[in-house]
Amino acid sequence: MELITDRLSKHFQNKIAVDRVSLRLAPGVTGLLGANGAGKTTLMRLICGILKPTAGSVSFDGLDVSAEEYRAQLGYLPQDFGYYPDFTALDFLLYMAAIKGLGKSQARRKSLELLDTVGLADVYRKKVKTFSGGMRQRLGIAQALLNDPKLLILDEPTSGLDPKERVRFRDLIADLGRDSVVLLSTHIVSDVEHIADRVLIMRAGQITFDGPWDPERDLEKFYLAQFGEEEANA
Amino acid sequence: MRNFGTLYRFELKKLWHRKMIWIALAILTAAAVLIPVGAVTGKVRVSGGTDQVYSLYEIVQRQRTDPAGLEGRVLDTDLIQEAIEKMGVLSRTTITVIGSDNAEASVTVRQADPDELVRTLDGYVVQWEYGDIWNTVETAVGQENMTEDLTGEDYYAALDEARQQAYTVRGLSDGARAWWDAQAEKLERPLTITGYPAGGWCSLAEAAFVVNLFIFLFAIIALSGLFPLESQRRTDALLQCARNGGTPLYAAKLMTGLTVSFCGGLITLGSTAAGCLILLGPEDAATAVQQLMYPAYGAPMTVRQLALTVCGIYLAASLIHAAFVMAVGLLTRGGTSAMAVCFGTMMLFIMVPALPMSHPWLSQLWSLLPTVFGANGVLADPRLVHLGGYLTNFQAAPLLWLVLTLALAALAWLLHRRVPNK
Repeated sequence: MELITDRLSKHFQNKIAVDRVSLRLAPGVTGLLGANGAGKTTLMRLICGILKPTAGSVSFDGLDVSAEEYRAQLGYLPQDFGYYPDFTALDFLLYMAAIKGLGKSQARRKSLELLDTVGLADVYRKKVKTFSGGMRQRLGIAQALLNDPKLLILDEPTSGLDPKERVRFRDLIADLGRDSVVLLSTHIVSDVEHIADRVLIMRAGQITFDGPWDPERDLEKFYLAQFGEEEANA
Repeated sequence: MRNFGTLYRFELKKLWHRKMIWIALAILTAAAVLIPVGAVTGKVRVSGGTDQVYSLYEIVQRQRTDPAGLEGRVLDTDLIQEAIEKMGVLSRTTITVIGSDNAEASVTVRQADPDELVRTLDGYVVQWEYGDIWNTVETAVGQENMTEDLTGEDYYAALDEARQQAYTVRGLSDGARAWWDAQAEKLERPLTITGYPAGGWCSLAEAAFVVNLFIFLFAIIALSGLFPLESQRRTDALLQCARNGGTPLYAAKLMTGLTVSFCGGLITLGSTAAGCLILLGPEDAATAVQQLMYPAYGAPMTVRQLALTVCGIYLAASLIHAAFVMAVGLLTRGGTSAMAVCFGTMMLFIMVPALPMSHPWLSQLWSLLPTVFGANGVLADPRLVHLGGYLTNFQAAPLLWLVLTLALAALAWLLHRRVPNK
């Protein structure tokens, strides 16, 4: 099980957002760090096949990013997670399950199970528009897990969550990393420090650091050293 | 297709929650009902002698329950002379029509006996008994020929001449002319007429064109955001990277759009039909279109057949309207911009209902487009489409729309499948 990006590039008009990124990600949690505008979200969108690369390729277990089978194994939580305000939480998950190709009974079972996992079981009949930001984020995490993805791309999954929820989801993500390739982008360095087996640091579209991380080391200090404190706080 | 039913149900649910759709449907349905209501709103005051005021509704209902004694008669020299005598040049009476806003307008109607008119409602109904026939004959032969020596043969000769002239003006080929001539052989001569004046079916056939524009408007309001909604709500990324986010989702959305537009068409056209038939009555069903609507039309057809055909065709048009709006939505990727483009297109068609005959093919193609079809009268254009055999407008238009709907659906599919570059 391996995600491969080969000289993956994305150019916008006057900007190189992702510059010849070549990666091989095995099961486990990979933390992706970088300042705003470093190209993290663009890289993730390319890996999810929702943005056309200027050059290079993405594949998972030999499947090209454009293949339906690739998408069948993918779970994605975008940074700006959208929803249908008039759907209930359960409806939203059932719809997403149908989009992901789950059968009716499996979709219902999995949806209820995940609503319980993310702590929304008691509000599953409430409309999403009545939810707080944190509740919506939890719903977003639940939808990403509906199809038991082998490749999980999480763009700022813990933003908007209170500290207790953050810790809970950090543990959940660490669990998922045992059997799946998880790529986790965040500004919260401590999240990566606690659960990532491997760390990528991006700067100006390029991977400037790629390696395993020893939990004994101080990642925040290392990160600040890479970027300088000012940029890290940007 | 995987989960098609579930996706379709959820796509319908997304639209179900949009208030704008319900508001648009309510307004357009009300407007569709008001079309026949307008025909019975207002009053008529017959001036001269003792003033007497009748509501138009009262007059229409009287005609329905007490039809003219012309039922089953043939439109021949005797009847033409009778109509001329009753209606024509013998006397004229001025009546005042009072609109729903109480504004008054004086119009002159031809009337047999002003005294009788003033005295009873029946007298006024005389105008309606002979009015349609008088107008039909006058349209064919010209007012100057509405004289005591006008015969049935003169009338039918004038119709034939008008028909041949229309063929010439529209540049019909010899083959097409021969086809129409063969149809004309089946026409009943002299025409057996019914005692009822233009009623519900006739009004429905005439009103359907306007309702067709309502249907297009509804499709624009309801469906321009169907695809762009996902990017506006930022759910597009979730859908695109899912297994069924491609063709299955597209198929569900397409079917949703077609269903909603078709149902909108059914509701608005149904409202007009119900209003027409309830208020004006279905009694004109078996009347020939040649008696009430198109004297020179070259093939046998009743008013009910025409109304049902036209309604069926405009319901079919609801599908191409939907496909067009959805394709524009995908092309522009914005609900508002799609709405603007579609509305502009509708205005273009309204403002240019026909192209000049100097470009015959283009002109004919234009006349078959769904927003233009029927703008100049659904039976007024005798041009045929030669596809092995000859097809009338009623056959060619739905066929063209089917092809265009499939082409638009294919275009929409390609647009839906494209991976964004930005």
